[in-house]
Amino acid sequence: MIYLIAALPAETRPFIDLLKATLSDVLPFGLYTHDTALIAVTGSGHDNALIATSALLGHRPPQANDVLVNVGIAAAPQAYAIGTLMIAHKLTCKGQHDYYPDMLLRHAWEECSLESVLEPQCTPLSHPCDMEAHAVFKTASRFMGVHQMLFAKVVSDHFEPQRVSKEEATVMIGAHAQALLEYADNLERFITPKALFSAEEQAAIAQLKRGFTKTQSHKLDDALHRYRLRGGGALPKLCFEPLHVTHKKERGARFDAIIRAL
Amino acid sequence: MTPSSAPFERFSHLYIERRVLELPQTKRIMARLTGAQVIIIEHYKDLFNRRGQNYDLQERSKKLILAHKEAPYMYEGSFYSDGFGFEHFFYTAGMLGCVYDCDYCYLQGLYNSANIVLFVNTEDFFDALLPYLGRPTLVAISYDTDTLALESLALQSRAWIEFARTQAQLHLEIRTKSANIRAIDDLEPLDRVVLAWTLSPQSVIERYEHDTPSLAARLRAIVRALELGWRVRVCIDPVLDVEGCDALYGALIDELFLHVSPEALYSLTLGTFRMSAQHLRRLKSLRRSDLPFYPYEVREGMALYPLETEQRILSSLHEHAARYLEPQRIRLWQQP
Repeated sequence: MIYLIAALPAETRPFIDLLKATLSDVLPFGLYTHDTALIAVTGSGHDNALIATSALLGHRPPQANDVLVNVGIAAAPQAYAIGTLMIAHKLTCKGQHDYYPDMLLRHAWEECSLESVLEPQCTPLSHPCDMEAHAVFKTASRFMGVHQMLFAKVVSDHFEPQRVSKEEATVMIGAHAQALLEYADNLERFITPKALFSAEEQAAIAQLKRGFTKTQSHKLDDALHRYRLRGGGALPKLCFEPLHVTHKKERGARFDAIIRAL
Repeated sequence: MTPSSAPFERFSHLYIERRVLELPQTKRIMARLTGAQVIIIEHYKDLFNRRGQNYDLQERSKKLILAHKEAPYMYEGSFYSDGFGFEHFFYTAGMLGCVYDCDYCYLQGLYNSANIVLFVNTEDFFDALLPYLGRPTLVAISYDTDTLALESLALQSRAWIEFARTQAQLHLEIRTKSANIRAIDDLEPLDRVVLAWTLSPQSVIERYEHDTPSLAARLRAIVRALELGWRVRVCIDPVLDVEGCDALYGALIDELFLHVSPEALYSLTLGTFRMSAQHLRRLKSLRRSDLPFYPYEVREGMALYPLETEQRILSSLHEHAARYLEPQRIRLWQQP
């Protein structure tokens, strides 16, 4: 699942259109849903971002392979051309801790340190700035790992926020929307933990463990992991046979047999 | 633009503490890593100790952090390592993390991050050591890391060797798996410095010591170090209880002495796998290798092979090594 979080409806529009996501009314802010993505419109600024991100991730807690993309427009110095997509490798906010999303997967976009400010920035800064990223990270890091987050901002202006219209914001983000979704997909694949056991195997293991003592269960877990991580193929048949024991000797014998087979 | 599905290469991002930004060592490293994204940070712990890091994923794209180490600079020699009879035995942490990725390494259980912190204020380590140098003192400089593996960039082994040259009581052990002897081959060897290579059978290297040089490359580096006049210790440690262990490690000893004259070797260390039970638990949770799932025994908080297995392995290898070396040059690591 990809969590796409943006401040304004204009910033989410390209993703809603691309994915044909549908409006949901389960949360008290704009939420669009799709099989592979949840798109949230938080409203602008630190507090809105904090509240909406928290509500979204509480509503649907992220899994180990989910990715959060905070997308939006940002002001930047003249060195960054309007329309440039920047990935933030550092998030700052005056008087608060700095945050560092992990930069794992290669990309060809610009990278920057991004400062989150409290209101639209009219005075030029030496680095790009937005109003939400820091708050999104602060909240999301309670729910997910630093490798699961991506902060993607498109340069909309050189500290002249009054010159950016909603329509322009949609067009500028739309130019990168498809590539960003593909990148998020790739990141999802990259971070997905390899499953050591199939669903069928997991069910059989759980069934077995119900018949064993706690200590035996731990030992069985270790033996199974060792077997599989050493490249062992299908689990021995014994692991799938139902365990009906009436005596602890019988249970011990079955346990020993499985450990030997592994 | 087609987005990539490949990780960034190693050290694609260089994080630098603001206070070391102007140090010559920092500038030299920045000049070496010109393609890296430079990110200024306030303190390395803000990055290295973050919550929610994924060790396994970071291993695929390690970043380098340049930082200033604060005291303590030296740590008392650990229970898990050999002090070689020195009353003063310290180890330093000039680096946190390692460029190599060995499945049996306790660093996976020790740190939240697979990134590497390189402390660039090496002189402060030397100053901290000075009060101890009235007596023979051993310092293991490559204990929590592999300094020689990163020598071309860090120059830490070189700095320590040059410092030891000026301090008559200072003895160094530089433990490594690196084949990068070239990085220090212009230095005059020093009797008080031991270069200690960890060797494993090639099949073990391929399976468990990711990103490390091959056995052949390590042997070539050992031969070269001996030619240059360095004292060389070989550490077959940890010995892993893999299938055919006795024969495999016995053959390794034979292979070693096929290339190295027994008289030339300073000493040989043999030790079986061991790790604090606490670190082992963390390694298990990473599920990266079968090694942590071996049915170890926990004795006094340490996970070890069952006593019988440990003794079988060590006595077999000791016997094998004794064909080449007199017993006093073979050291065994066993739980005290």
